[in-house]
Amino acid sequence: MDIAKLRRFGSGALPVALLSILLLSSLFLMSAATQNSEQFGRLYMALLVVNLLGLISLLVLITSNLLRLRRQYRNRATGSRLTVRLMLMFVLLSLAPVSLVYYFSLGFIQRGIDSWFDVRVERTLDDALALSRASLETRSRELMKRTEQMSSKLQLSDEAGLPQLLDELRMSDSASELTLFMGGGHVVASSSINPADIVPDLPDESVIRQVRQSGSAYVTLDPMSDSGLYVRVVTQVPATTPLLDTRFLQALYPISDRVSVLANSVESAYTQYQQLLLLRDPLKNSFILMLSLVLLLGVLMAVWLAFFSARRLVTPIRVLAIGTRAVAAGDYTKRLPMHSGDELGFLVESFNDMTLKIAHAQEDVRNSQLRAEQERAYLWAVLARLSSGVLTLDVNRTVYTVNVAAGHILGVESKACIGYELDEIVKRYEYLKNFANAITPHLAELSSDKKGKGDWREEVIFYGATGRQVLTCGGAALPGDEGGYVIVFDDVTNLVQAQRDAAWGEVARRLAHEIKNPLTPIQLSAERLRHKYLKTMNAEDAEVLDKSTHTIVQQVEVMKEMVQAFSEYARTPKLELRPLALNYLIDEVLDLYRNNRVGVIIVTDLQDDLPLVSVDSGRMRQLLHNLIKNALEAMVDDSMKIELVTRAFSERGVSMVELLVLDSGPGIPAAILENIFEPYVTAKPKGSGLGLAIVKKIVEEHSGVIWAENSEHGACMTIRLPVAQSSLDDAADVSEVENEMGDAVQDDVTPFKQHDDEKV
Amino acid sequence: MYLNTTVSQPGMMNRVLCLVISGLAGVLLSLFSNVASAEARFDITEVKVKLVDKVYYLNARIDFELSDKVLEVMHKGVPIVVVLDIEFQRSRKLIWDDDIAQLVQRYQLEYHALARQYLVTNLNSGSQHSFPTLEVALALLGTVVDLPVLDKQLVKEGGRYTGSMRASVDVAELPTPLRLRAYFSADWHLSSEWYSWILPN
Repeated sequence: MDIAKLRRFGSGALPVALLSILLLSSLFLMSAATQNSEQFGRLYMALLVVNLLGLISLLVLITSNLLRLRRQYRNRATGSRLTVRLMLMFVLLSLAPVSLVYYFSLGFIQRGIDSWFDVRVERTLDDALALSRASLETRSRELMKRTEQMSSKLQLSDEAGLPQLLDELRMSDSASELTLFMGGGHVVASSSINPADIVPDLPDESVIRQVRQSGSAYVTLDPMSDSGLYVRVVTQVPATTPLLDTRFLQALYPISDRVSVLANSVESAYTQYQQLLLLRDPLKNSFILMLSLVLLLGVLMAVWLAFFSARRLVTPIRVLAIGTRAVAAGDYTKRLPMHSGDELGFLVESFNDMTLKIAHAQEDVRNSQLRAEQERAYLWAVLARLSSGVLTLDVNRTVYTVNVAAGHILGVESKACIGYELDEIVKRYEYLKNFANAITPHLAELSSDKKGKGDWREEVIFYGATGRQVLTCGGAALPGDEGGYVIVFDDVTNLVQAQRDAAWGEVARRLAHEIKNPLTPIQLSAERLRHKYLKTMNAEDAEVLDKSTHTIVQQVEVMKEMVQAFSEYARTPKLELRPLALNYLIDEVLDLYRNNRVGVIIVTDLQDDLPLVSVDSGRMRQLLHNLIKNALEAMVDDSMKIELVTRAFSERGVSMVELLVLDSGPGIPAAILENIFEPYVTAKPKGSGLGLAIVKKIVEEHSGVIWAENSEHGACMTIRLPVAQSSLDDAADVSEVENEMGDAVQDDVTPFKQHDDEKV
Repeated sequence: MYLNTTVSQPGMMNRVLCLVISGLAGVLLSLFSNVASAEARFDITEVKVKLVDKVYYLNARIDFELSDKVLEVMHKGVPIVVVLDIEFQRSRKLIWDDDIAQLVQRYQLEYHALARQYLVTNLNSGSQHSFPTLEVALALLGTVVDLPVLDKQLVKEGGRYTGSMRASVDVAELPTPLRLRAYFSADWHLSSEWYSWILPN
């Protein structure tokens, strides 16, 4: 049997009941033994030991229980406090009455036993004994005298007549036995009332000695075990001649039955009373011991039962407490075992129901949370793949979500913005100011208009990291208690531009086609008129004709040029892209302007080791011509200067080459600044209005960007072109770069190592 | 006097019980630390065994000296039972000895208040003698004459047999209330040492 089983058995009700019954029955037997009953008297000690052992085992049991309880109490085990309280209560309840009973029982035992004894009874018994002795002694003396007479008769008798004489004497004196014997114990003659007694009962040697020395008779009362009291008289039979040994006569006289019975009765009463006196204290102690044992047994059993029932009572409560703690800790799977069908059982059942329901509710919550998270992930995936930028703000205008596209469009790191207020982001990215300014009034409107009926839509233009950007923005208030706003925007810069460019291309193409055709007949007709009628006309008319036809031809020529320019704009030639050093190209183009204009200073600030750009050299020359021409045309006097600056830079991982063309003119009027690159948008009286449009077209053909702005001194055109892929690869490896510079660049490129400051 | 020889194995339970009781008594005795009266002791001074007609007869002399407590109790009329335990064993090598016979002689000593006599009763035979003084009574009690103890048939040839004897007061015969105290009192623990002898062939 393993220990757990044993312990379970030990804590059950059965062993307690068995032990109790065993101990109680042994107590009962012991109590019977104390009553001096014969069969139990022998078992007294064994029973005492059994009871003591039982008590010890109970004590051990209780001690182990107490220790366990103390350990549980110290560890603050669930239910231990209640168990202690219940146990103390039970023990007190049982101890109080038992102690009272014990106290009074002790008194009763003391007084009860003491009441058996009385001085008068004792004295009476002593007197009775003395009286009996006196009476018997009187009789004894009488018998002694008779024996002495017999002795003198025997002295005279001869040896042969002795037996007969003894018989006669015995019968005449009603003795039961007469024996004549020698001093050494040798029987001379004997006569007995009972013929079966062959061996006479002789007195002890000391008696004979006493008789011999004193010379007088020895009388004693002799209790015979089977035949009552006898008077024994031993007397000397003096020798008739000195030669003979002294002989002794012993006579046994029975005491009459009546006297014998009375004497015995007195004797036994006296003895019993003496015994009682002797046993007074031991008897008391015995009863007290018994009572104490019963009390101890009762108390210990009560304590044990207190343990037992306290534990029984506390078990369901403890289980409940453990369950409650588990639920409080969030474990709703706990099911408590049912113990009973009473109120506690009902409580446990209710608890189980409750936890089951909570567990189900918890499960539902978890499921819906999971669903919400899935939906969120789904939404987030959709948002991430949207090409439109989506931005959500809370009511404090703190960025809540930004999708990837929004980051791209606004040129910001989308994740770095989350959790910041709009104003903080604007501080960090200055160029977003326009965007923020554009949406702020709408947000204010939405927040004031709680019902959020006003969705808004607006086109926002701002100068971002990649230049001018046109966004179509839309926004709405978010539903829900927390509120907030959602802003959706698309970058339509390229779309708008492409639409405009396509429209202008179409116009230019048609114009070129429609106008170019009649121009040649007009010119030819004018020349023919002149040729035919100039000679025939008088000098005055001829002069008019000459002037008119000359004007026609000249204007047609101008128109042709214009048409040519239009067709140039509309034309989209195939680009031949080659890696090229921009500085070299600039130098080449500037050479053409160094000699034919006076008074204009062209300054260059070209960065050394500028990365190569992948461009069509012809188109790029045209671009430079147009830009320089545009700058020259902006000159209001001859004391101005044009500055060309190149530099390499890298923004958001993209390497670019930047070309700045600055002039010291009046700058671009604000009215046309936004549309300066569109055809026929010009501030100059003699411009065709296509120069910058073509520039822009070329830049876009090379995947670059261009924008115009006014600096402190005049207009500034900024062109950014991506660095050629080969040049990027070279940059990765310095040695390779050096090699290629030797092969490709050194022949082609004239490096501008100096900051030229030339007067053209 | 008659032969009262029982060949028996002592009951195991009795032994255990005796052991438990004597152990308990011993523990309590040491606690009570009662010292018995110096003169109160039983002493076997002489034992003689002779073989007559295939029966072993025992003659012994024992000095009985009773403690004051015992005498007091006796004079109050409580009979005192003195027990002579006689055992015979066959000595064996390697293992324990074999009990072949056990003999218990019980004598009762009491005081007759009316007759002022000391009565000695052999409880085995029932014979009773009365004595005017205690000394004479104890002297008779201490003299064992020709007590038949063992049948020669039980003794095999060539075996080595030993006999042993002990005299003691039987506390268990006391009235119950006295008995408990007697178990734990040195006054009542009157017993001689075991006296052993080799059985003559």
